[in-house]
Amino acid sequence: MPDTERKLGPFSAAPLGKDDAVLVGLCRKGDESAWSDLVDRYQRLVFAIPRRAGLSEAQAADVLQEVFLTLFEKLDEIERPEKIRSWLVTTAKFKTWGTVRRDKGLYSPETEEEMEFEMANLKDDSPLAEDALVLLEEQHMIRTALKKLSEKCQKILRMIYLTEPAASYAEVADAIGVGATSISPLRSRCLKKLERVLVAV
Amino acid sequence: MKNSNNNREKIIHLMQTDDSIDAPSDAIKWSKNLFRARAAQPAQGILQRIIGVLVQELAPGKAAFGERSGSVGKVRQMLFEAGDNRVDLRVSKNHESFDVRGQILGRGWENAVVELAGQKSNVDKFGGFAVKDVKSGTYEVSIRGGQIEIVLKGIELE
Repeated sequence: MPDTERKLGPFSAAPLGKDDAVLVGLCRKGDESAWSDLVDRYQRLVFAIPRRAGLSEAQAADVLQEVFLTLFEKLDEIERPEKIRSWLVTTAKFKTWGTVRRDKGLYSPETEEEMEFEMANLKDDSPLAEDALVLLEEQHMIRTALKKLSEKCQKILRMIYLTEPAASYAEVADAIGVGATSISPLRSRCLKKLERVLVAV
Repeated sequence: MKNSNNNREKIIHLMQTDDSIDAPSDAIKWSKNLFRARAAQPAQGILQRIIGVLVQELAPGKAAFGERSGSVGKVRQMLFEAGDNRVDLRVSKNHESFDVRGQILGRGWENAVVELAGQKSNVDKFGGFAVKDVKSGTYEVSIRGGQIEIVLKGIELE
């Protein structure tokens, strides 16, 4: 399975890729908790791909299981473990496409080359087109980077940007135990930290 | 500076439009269990074999130790300890043969293979398994999850 790296806007995959390479290395040495961390880290991204393509929850869960089974079986063969994210996305895309085709009773490509040719010629508005996958990868990177921030920063950013309706500065200040006037500079600092994790300098 | 502002705006936009959800928990659990349940077939000879020790048995028609009640079931129940795991085994008579059901209490046994009297069965996601229509006799139950095998010896079905 190819591990084509997609261009992810201003974000650099390098810092998070190093973490992935460490996890893959530990898995190769038989570390069960590293495997568990890898599954936790990528389950959302892998699951999102078949769901976006319109597969049911059960079908998407099957795709997820197939992807991790394939990863497990190929763990020692993956040449660039720091690119595991791209590998997982491409594998999920292939397996999703296979399921879509089976559902429609269409001929399924038998070789990887045939499949790659088809995938390269998907329409731009397809949920499996490159742009759509780039968006999912970028969102995955932000989720992962967010978890690397301090709990305080995570809380501030989640309350301001990820709750509906967004929390007021007063509510955030109350939640983390600081004055309301501190929230704006704290928010800026936390965003900068998040950016530093994501963007190569 | 402008670039940085653009980056941050993009980050905020991506965070706010992220509507992805977690995969179903049983699919995640299954994927995690792959490591123990399937992986573990590297070099042969390093299989860890754990012999289960019978720690409790309730036979039909016999009250449990310490119980006065005669309200006993028709199912013979045995509880084994095997390393960090426990195996609850229940045997019931089914005409001339026996049905054996069990549950393994421990982590990472989903998809493990249970073997009894030449019959094979898989451990389900709740740790349960069943083997039906076993003729009377004395048997060994093997539960194999990758590199670890739990063996329950001397299971008498009569």
